[in-house]
Amino acid sequence: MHELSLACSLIEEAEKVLTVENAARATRVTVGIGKLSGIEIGAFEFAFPMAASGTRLADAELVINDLPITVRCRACEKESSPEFPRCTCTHCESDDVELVNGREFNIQSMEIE
Amino acid sequence: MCTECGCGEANKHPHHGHAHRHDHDPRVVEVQQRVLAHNDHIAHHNRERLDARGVTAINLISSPGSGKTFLLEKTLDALNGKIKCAVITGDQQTDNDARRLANKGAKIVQIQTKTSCHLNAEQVAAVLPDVLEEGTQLLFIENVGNLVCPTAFELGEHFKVALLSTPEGEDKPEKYPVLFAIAKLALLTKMDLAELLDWDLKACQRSIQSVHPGMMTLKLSAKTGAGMDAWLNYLASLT
Repeated sequence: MHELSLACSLIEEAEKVLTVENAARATRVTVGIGKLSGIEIGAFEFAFPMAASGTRLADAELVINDLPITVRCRACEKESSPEFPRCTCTHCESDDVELVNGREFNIQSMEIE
Repeated sequence: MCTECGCGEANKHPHHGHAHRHDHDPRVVEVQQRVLAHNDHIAHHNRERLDARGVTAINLISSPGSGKTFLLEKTLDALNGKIKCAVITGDQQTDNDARRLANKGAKIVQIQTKTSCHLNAEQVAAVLPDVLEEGTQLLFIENVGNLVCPTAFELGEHFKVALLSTPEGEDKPEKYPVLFAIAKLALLTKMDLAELLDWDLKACQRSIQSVHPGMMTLKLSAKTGAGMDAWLNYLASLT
């Protein structure tokens, strides 16, 4: 269960944003989590309030966008979004693919005041 | 600013050219900031250091007790005097693994992660200068035994190897797909126990292939030595 430390990392990065934006607090933080990020969304949602407690995100709503896998095929050179957890090209079934998306763990946006 | 490359990552803040506002109305800012940017940045530098020295680094990930350390013991014995190896081994507590791997011709550094269930790039960066001796060709990073958490943290390795031992059953790849999806190679370990456990090789291969079609898979027993040649030849091909 590494989601608490990940939630703490999220709070740290979000606090930096609040400082740069000269904001008093965040009311919402929207996070993108890729299917192959290794992050369990349920555990992350559970950990977030604990990490946020006592920070400028204490009352912030957490919105999570579950992001799909995207691969670029080296064989047929097309991009596709195979269904989790597969990482193969859906056009030609090759597994000689480069992972383009799916490992994300990003703050996408924040509502601040 | 990052003191290593001066790239500015360490103080990088999302900033989009708009003036600061000092009122208190709620507003939405687009951020697009990677939460683990700091870890990824250090991992990138680790990779640069490894590449500059011609070292191939392998991140070994598995459940606790799947045989990572025993495989490394036998691997270091076999490669001693042939391929210069180094090992970073991570556990929450003890230096038991470092002691098991000592005196086999490889530099060993133990990291104790205390409460953490995975290694991170910063921990690896701190020990890289010490663990990489002149002429090191292969660096094994034995992650904390855990099928889940280590997959979220890049260390700067060239690729990941997933170990799966026969006592764990056949369907771990489907139950814990992230590791098997992103690892380059699956090592099926403790094959000497397969018959005793009625462990089904075909079912396990089906489970691996359902997650990662075409995944390279080697089966071995570090205890009997069966299958070790293929693993050692594979390692030799990396140098």
